[in-house]
Amino acid sequence: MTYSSSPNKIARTNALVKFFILISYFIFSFLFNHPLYLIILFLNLIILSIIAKKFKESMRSLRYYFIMVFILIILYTLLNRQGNNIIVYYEKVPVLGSFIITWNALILSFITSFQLLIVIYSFILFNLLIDTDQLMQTLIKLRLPYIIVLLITLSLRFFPLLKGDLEIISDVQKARGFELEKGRFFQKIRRKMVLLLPLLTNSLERSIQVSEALETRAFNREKKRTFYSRIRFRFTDYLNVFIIFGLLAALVGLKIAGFGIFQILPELTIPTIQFYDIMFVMGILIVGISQILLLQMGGNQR
Amino acid sequence: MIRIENLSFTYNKTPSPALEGISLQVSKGDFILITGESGCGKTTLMRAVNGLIPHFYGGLLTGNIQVLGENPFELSPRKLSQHVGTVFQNPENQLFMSSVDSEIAFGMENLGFPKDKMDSRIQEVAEDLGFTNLLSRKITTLSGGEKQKVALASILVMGPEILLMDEPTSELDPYAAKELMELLVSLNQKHQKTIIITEHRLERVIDYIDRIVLMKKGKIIADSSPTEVIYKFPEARSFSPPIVHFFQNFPSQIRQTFTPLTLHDAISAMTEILKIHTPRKDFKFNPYTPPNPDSNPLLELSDIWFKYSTSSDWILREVSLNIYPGEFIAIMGRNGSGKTTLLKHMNGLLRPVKGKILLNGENANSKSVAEMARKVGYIFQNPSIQFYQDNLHDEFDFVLRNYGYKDERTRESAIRNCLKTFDLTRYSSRYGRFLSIGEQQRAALATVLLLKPTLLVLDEPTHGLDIGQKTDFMRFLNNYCSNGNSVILVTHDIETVAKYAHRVIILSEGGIVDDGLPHKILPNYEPFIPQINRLVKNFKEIPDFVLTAENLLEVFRNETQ
Repeated sequence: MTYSSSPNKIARTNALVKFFILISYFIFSFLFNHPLYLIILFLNLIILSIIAKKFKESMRSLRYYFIMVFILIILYTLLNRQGNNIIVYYEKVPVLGSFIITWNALILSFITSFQLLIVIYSFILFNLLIDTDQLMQTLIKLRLPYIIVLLITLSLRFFPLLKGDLEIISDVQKARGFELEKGRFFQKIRRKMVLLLPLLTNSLERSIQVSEALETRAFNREKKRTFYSRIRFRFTDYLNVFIIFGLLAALVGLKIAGFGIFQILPELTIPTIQFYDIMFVMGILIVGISQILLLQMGGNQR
Repeated sequence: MIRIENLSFTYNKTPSPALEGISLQVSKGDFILITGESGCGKTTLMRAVNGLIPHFYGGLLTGNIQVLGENPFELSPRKLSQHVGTVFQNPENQLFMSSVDSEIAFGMENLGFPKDKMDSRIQEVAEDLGFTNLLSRKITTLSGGEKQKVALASILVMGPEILLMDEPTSELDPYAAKELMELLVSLNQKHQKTIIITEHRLERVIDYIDRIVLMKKGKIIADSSPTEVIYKFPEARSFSPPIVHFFQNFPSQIRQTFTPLTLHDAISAMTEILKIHTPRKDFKFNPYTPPNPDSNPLLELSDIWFKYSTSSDWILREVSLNIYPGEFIAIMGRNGSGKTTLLKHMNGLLRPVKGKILLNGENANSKSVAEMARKVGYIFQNPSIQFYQDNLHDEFDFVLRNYGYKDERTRESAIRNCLKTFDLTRYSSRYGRFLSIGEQQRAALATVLLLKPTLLVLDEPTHGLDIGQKTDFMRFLNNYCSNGNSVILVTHDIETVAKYAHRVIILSEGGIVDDGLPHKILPNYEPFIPQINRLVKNFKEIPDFVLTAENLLEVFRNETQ
């Protein structure tokens, strides 16, 4: 999953604002555990992906999430012994001693998975909506030293090449009769470890060529470099940043006041939906949509 | 522009010098080719000019070098970069940004150019190189040729007077290579840029350069006009393009009269020759006799369709192909036409989405790659990527152990024989990646042939090989084939195909567009026409199916003897 150029304006608008929006959703996901609040936060991200014409692509990337969540729910439910609302309990189980599954652990695993969904989805959108050049400009705007910024962007730029190298090395070994997929899980992992050495050698060779090329492109020659692309802020971008921080402050306030939370431990309660909850989530939805619209009206990268 | 006096350089921890007593003068507007066998010091000389030696590569350095009055030993490459631009072999490793315009601007940003100057320079250079339409594109969406153009543009915007290009066409197909060379000529003529390139394949560049520097074992052994170097220095003979080879070996004294290098000159020379000599009317070309279609194919591909994912485009479409024992097949096509994807289906590295593959009449889809590899040997494009054991002996041992050869004595005996057959015994304890490219390719072939497969599949096997290494390698494949085995290779090397292939398959957009004997196929596809065929097409007295210098010499042989 990587950024691809898109005719949609959001892909080209202010990367720093997009960065702040997606980071804010990352934070929001940890503030609440009430399903209604989480649904609305996720809905905002979905609307963003639809307007940015990245919905299908983002959904494709989510398929790995479901595998992870499946494992997470099973492990979390089986291993988390907290809570008083018991589903199954065996007092004497060989090796384990006792075995307990609680409603609390089960619900908690679902809520955590939902929070994780928002985190992962904002990360997916980050990848789809911010290309490495834009990320570079964003990090520069955040005043990170240029050498570190270049290092990060080069790692992202060369990651697909590294993946390609790994595929070739794996093909080479298969073609020489080495059965990478043979054996049990740990045997497979051990067999695959042999790919690391040639990959490392290759990467070292590539890094030498990259450094040569950087030298001949006058990298780090002048103390002060100029920038071809700059993040250009319009009024709408400033407004959007103001809204992001405003929303963040408001949601932290709600959290402190106890809204958007329902009790799972030690006693499980049924999440209630009050009138003020509906008002708040409607507010989050409206603010989220306005952020997206403002993003569309924001400044381009150049 | 460049003055080099008695320059010698030995890399750290190497016994012999990479450059020895080099003296060279380059004037403004020169278009120079540096050529010679692999490892002769071409790249090292380039590194000395752009300052990578001694600032990036350490070693023992003596002599003097002046580049535009500056001493690269004292100035770092980044300081020299505004005067000397370098474009490397692999464009992939010299592009750092994600979009074309940002990439081109990168060097100017480092030099502190203001934004408006960057805009105008980018536009100017893109117009010069004819790719303004690419400026807003993402690097990942570009073809190899386009990437090489972007790499060139990103150097040119920095305004260097001298342009160094290390094997710039090696990753390109013939179309893209021709386009790039034409661009370089226009830069040389229109902007008086001094251009120095290295290249093995003289036929790709001979029409464009005005001076050749021939190197051997770190020394310059010839430095003159292309005609002078190619016709007067015996060491240059092996590098000669086919047209030169023909005129150098023409079986009469008339050969001393003509010294053409380009197709244009060769046409004039041939016109004169035909006034004196008559080509044989009875010349009969003896092409390879195709196997009977009713005989049993070694490998049978029926209606193969392939794509990487459900949402991606088809990479292979409706490919049907039979490979018979003893055939030497070349697959040709533009970059991205699906050639490597097709090869990978032949040993099971990729499985078709639709269609059937039979190996010796058995369904190959049910066989693992390891099982297939016993019958189908696969040589990858980059030989160095195939080595990762401590030494060559262990590489062979690894393959034999993978195939269940448990007895150490049997393994040792097989390894000894194989090393001997491929003349690699002295490298037995050497790390594979430290061998020369020709030796690496030979070693890669040896590891594959340990298992005595009956079909050998090779992806661009002549890539990076010099003429001598290439000839040795192709002769070996030819012998292997004459023993009833089959060879199938993907290549952009037209002259090699014209000389060795029994059958040519042209692939375009994932489908086979033509399949047949080389003399029937190659003359019909503009980028794949061999140099000799381009010449003979101009003369109705000469059969138009002649592809190689050897064929053409045969056409004149009896008449002139």
